[in-house]
Amino acid sequence: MTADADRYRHAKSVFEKALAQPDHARAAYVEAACGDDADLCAEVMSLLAAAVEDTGFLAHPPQHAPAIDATTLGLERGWRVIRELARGGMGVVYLAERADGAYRQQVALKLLHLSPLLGEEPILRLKLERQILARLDHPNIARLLDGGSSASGMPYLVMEYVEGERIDYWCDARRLDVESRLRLFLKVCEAVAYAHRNLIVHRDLKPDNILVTAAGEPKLLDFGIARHLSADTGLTGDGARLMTPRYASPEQIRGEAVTTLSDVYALGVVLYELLAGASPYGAAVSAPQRLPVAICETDAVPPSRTLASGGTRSGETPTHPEHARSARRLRGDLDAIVLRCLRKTPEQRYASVEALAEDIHAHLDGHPVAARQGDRLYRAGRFARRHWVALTTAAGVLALSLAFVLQLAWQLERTRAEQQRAQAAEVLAESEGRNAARARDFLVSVFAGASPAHTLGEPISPRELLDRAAARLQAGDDAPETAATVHVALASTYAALGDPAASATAAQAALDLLPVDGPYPLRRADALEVLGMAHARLARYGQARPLLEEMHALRAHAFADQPVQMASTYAVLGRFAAESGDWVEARDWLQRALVLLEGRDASATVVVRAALVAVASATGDLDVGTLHWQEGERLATDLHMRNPARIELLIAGAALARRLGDFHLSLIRLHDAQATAELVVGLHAEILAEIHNELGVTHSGLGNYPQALEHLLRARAAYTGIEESQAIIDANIGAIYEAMEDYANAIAHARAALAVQQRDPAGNLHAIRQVRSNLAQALSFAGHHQEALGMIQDIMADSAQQAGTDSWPHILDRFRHAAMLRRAGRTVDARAEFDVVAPALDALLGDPEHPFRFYSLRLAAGIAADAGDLHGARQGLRRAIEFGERHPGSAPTAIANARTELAELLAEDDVDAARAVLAPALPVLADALPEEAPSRQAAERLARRLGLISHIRPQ
Amino acid sequence: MAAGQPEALTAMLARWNAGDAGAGEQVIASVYAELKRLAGRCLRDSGNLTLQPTALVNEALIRLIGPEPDWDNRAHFFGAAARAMRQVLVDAARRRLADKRGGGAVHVTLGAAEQMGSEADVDLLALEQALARLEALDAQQARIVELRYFVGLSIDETARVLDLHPSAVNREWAMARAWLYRELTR
Repeated sequence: MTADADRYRHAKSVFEKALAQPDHARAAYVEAACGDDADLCAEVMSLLAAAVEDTGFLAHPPQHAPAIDATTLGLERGWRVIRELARGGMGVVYLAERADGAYRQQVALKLLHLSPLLGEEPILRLKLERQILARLDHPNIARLLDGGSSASGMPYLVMEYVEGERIDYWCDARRLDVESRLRLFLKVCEAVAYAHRNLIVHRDLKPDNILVTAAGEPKLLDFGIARHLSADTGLTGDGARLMTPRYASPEQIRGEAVTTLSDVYALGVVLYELLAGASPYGAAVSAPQRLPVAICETDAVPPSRTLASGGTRSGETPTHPEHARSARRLRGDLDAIVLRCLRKTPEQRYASVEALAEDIHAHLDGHPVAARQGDRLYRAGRFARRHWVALTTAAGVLALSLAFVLQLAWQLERTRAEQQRAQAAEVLAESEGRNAARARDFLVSVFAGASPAHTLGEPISPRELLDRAAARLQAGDDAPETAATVHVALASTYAALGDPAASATAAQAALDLLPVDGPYPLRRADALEVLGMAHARLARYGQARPLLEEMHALRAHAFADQPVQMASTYAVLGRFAAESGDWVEARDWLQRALVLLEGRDASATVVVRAALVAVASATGDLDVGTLHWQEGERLATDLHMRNPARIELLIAGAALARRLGDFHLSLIRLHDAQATAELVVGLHAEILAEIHNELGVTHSGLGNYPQALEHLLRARAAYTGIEESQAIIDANIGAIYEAMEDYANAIAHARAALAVQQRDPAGNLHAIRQVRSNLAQALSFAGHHQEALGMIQDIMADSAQQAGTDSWPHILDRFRHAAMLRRAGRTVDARAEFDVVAPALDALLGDPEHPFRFYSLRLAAGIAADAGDLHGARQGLRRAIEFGERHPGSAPTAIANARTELAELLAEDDVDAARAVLAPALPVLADALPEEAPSRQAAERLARRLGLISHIRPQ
Repeated sequence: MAAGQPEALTAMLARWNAGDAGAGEQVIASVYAELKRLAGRCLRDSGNLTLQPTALVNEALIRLIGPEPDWDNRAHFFGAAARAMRQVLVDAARRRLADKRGGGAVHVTLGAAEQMGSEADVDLLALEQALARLEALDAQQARIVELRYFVGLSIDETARVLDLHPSAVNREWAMARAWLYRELTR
């Protein structure tokens, strides 16, 4: 043995023993063991240092052919392949590292097969995946590190390399209990929800794509067939068929639209397997020809039962001694949660991954889970639109106030531009400069007063600050034009804070300082605009109108050759008309704005298009609305992601989709709006609350009442401290209870909302009126006819005075009045009222295909029946049913109820025809309504009378 | 040459096992030739761009000794294969480097992979030099590196081939790896 080898042996002996010591004791051990042999000590320490560096050095065999590297493919950033990790239909994933020697970080490099057979599609797909991953930055999603194209144009992706184990294997290897599995799964949910918020649907969630690292963190991989919800990818079939059948949703199997709800489904399968250790479709998973049918048609066995019957992963024998206990653990909540995810119809699943996660949290915290409460609601599902009127009018309250906020943001921007113009047009530059400087000094002094030294350390709210500024202005030391400028700014801010009364006071103060025919016509116009819109928000339309007319006249004079400014003036007038319920005039102004804007200001154009979409949805001009939506969307693609105009467009588009009966599209647009709103600082909370409110309405339309309530509660929470807005949300919650035929709750919520709203005599009369109208309707349904009629008659008087006798709010109130009279048995009065309201309604609805006509046809038939015109009534109901069935936006239960009414009329002289009419209604009602729901009971009573169902109900 | 003649190789292994060093060299030469042949075929037929040494060695084992070799033969074979694989890879890297420097000599190629010289070759040659030095200091550690790194055997498999306890292999491997790493990053 050579001397070197001898030393090596020595070093080895010390090294091996040192390595067995705990980290902190090693150095001391080596020093002691080496004694005064300093060289040996240094040698061992250096080897120990090399040993503890976890470099992956020599961890894998050398590649015989490192085929893919910077030289061969010209990857500009020099990644070098170490070995192949996985191989799929379209490409290969390699383990790689930096070729420049910094080989600490290992990465996964995804490259395509070069095959002319596959054409361009894989390339497009990989590029898309890159775009998608670039949007995602989440600790539980494998990150995109680099990406680009090789010299030959071949795109590649470099991703975080996740060294981990499939989630199911990981859990099994550690014999995790149910709770630990759920907690791990929740992290997966967070990652998927994050992707959804970024409008990414994964579409291929499965255990292979969810790895768990040594640290116990799950990581989501492979967005290879993910889809960006709003992107037109140009890919054939859009990857819909690239799914993994075992985890594919029924809609994926059928090649239908794949949404976030498809991911909810796949997560359900993953959770099922994690909990039960077997596929929800049992043996069918190993029979490729049977699996698609099983997925589309067979209801999954509850996971607890699969577990109890000894199901285990892929044919293993059931060895878990805890099986029986775990099965008990799954029964109830967890069965319900998993099966909710696995429903065949997407809209019957959890409406979002967040909702799924919240239910799992609720289960873990011992709270009741929505999936089980939902069972009754689920059966009651899909009948919300029976009271479509109530829902849409209630929601309208908030939709308008959102438009207000956004419009304001846009206007403030425009006002700044105008002020610059005003400089030239109105006064000498010098004096205007002085004025601006004085206004600035004034504001600075107010803010200085808010410093802790002046407030004795108490925090000061923006509201207090404004009040101080207003008070100081009242003192009147400042030059009038300076004070007026500040008053207008204050008025705008009060409006933005949701206080139209204070806004009106400040704007009035500004106006008082700016005489008619004075030297500052444009500043006066600004004051008029803010004051006019404040009055409008307080539903004082009569006071608002002359102010806005004067504003129009002043600006028409000054802005004759400035189309963008003039367009914004028209937009204000259009919005005012819309708020006061005059859709025709609103459309007229908005159209004029549009003509002026065409090709000039994309952002402003999108806002106007959005307003036109909203007007068209409200009036039922759905084709027109779709046209404006498409144009707006085309322009919006060029706008900055954070431009609030996009939000307004998306929210209007969501309402449009809802009116078209496409609730899923509505959801997608609202999620898009939500994602955008989350990027917009400042407007954030309020807009998000508006979006949650809209989400609540859409979910309610889908029959997802728990989700609807959840969104409304979130909106409510976002309004903490703003009771007025919370009251409106409460009113909407009441409307959902009304849809569920839970009238006691509907009435309680509406009353609570009103109590808050009516505290302030200058509150938003428009909103109060709508909530009272909803309350009256709920009272009428509950049988409190006297109170309901008294209330609706008061409301009618108010809407006539505030909005005009031919406005939509007033006509709608009268329509409800007629229906309530009929419900109260006052058939003659009902008929008289209907005769007045019908022609006005016709004129307002315009389009003969407006969805509201279903309700109008049905009420007309009922009134005809009351008058003994049986023939007319039958005809009318047949038309109503036929109309409803051809309209995607009509509620199946509303149609079913019309069938009950028609069958009732036929029962006397044509039992067979009555049966034929009623039969299709029964399953719809039984499926959608709880047993005690009055309309379901009425239909079933009639069915028994006609011999359609037996008297003894099967258990 | 050796392909299709499992008996011949088995006999040679037995002689090697009995202490015949010349037989050992013949075994390694046979395995070397077979590995090269397999690598070339693999690249030509499948278009597979990377070759897994472990898979190659296993295939060579089946072809040279038969599908169910007894354990002694198998262990010896892996010992030989590890050495052969080390030679195959190092020779290929050396040739590619020579080509790059304008060596220009005509070589027997391994196929497509031959065209793809890379920085890895330099690393592999540096590793080879360090491994040769380690061999002089501790031959057993060098064997362990061959089996673990060039063939991709696990700790347990390596232990069985060398007839050692797995924990001993683990310790030796840790030391060898640390030593080589330090040598290469010095």
